[in-house]
Amino acid sequence: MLERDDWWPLATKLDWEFSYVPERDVYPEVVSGSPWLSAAEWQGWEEPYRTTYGEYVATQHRKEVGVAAVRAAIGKVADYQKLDRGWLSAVKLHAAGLALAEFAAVVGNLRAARFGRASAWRAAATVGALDELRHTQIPLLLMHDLVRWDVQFDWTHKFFHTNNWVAIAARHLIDELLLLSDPIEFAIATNFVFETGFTNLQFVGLSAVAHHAGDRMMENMLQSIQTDEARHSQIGGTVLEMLSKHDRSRARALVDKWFWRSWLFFAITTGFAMDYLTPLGERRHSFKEFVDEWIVGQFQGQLARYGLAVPWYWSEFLASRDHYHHMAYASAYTYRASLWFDCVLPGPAERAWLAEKYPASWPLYEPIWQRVTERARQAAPGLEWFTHGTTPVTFCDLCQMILCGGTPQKNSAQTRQHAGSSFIFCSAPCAAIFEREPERYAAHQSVVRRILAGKAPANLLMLLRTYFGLTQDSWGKDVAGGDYAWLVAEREARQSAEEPRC
Amino acid sequence: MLVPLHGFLQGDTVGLLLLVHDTDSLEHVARTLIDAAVVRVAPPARARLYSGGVELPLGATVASAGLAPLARVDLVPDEERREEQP
Repeated sequence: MLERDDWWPLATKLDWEFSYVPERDVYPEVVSGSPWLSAAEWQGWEEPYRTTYGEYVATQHRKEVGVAAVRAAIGKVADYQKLDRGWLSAVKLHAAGLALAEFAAVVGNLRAARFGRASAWRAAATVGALDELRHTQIPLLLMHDLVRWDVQFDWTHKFFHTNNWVAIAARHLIDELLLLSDPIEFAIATNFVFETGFTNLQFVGLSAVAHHAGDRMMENMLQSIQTDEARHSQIGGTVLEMLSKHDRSRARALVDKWFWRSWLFFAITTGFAMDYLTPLGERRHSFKEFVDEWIVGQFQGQLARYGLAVPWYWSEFLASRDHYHHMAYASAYTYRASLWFDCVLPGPAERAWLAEKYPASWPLYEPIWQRVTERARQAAPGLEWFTHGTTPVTFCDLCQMILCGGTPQKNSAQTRQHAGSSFIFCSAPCAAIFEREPERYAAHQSVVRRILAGKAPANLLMLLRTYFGLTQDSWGKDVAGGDYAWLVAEREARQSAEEPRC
Repeated sequence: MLVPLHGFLQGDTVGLLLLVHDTDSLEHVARTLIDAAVVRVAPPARARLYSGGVELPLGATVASAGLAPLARVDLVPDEERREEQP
């Protein structure tokens, strides 16, 4: 009887020689991706995990038992009610962005399982698709239990089906990344950049934060998912190696495009959670420190391994670690009713922590929060609109996110003309991605274009209610209703100082 | 005619959609942008309006300044005006 390591290559390298149809018809380039190479050239494709289906089932069963046990022990509404409200907003943000995006990843993996050019690649993508089904079902199940208590958790399932501006941006990313890309682009965009470059940040970094926040359920869920991601992300490296060998300029273009698009996504989902929504006493590291530890050095090393330079906008990326999520969060807080989760107004202690962690950039944000705080101080608790914007914001014609690139001193928005129309982008990389493939992106309508076309209302309140799918119960509010102990104390001190003295 | 503009106030964190008319003065455009950002940025005493790096006269109208739909305008508070304009 053969030993495991003897039969494994026989099984994974099992393939057909086609006699009735040409190989190009079985794996058309338009579906399998470019460059089209014969199966013989892909024979050396390898991945380090070398998991058999039997081993996969046994391992996944153990993980499922683990998640179920934790859910039974601490996954009830009463357990979540003990958690900090700000942290619960991080959970809502993450769960909505995760669940159905993972379902789209099932489709991407299944396309690779059929049209990937190496049999071992197809085998790895098959179990990758099964992984992503788990990653869809786990958050849907866990958050479904909480909907009766807090309707915002319903957005775990609802989010991608709405025309909420964040959902439009997320769909623009996820549709291209997971549903439209051919297996070669999918392997580089999803497996190499998104999963190798970024999900470690999301699942390792954020699970550590969940641990400190006392959310063992979230911690367990993220760790369970991360172990899958670590395995199927390995598909990407060897595909990138092949692409670099045969079409280096395309390899670079794909890495450049997907690193930037992934960065914007993770800066929001993880940056908000780590620097604003996690209770101050439970924070150990800033978002920037996590990025430096889990992305910058690691990703540079991965690229060097395949003989590729860092993306052309690397200095802009490094600068944005100090700014992008701060720009976005201040904007989001003052447009929180357009979201499905509540936002935290950073108090003096939180702002002192941010000033310590971001000494170069925080002085630009302190006046903004002082201004918002001053208005919150003037308002009675629960009076949300005095610290809320009333004018619609504008959106990037590539990533569909709000135009909050650059710094408060110099917003990095860029305008371009294409086919007689004016387009605006949040950053030079987004403009460059658009200009490389304008036919792919030009027809997509941002929220602003939908308003101008009469498809969405210009009135902000109507926009929230009739287009973004929000109601007064579900839209984002200040997490404390403006009733922070530090703010109450400041308000009372000021009133006391202003009272006439006899 | 309604002219939508992308407005950026220096010191703010996000671009804002300004729905103005071609007959509106640029002073009205500047005031609209300041009002739209008032939650985050205290209204400046004086500010200058730019488009494409060129300073625009506040007395001009949207039409006479040649601002096309979806043009970008930047409002720079005087006290923060820098050598390099957006």
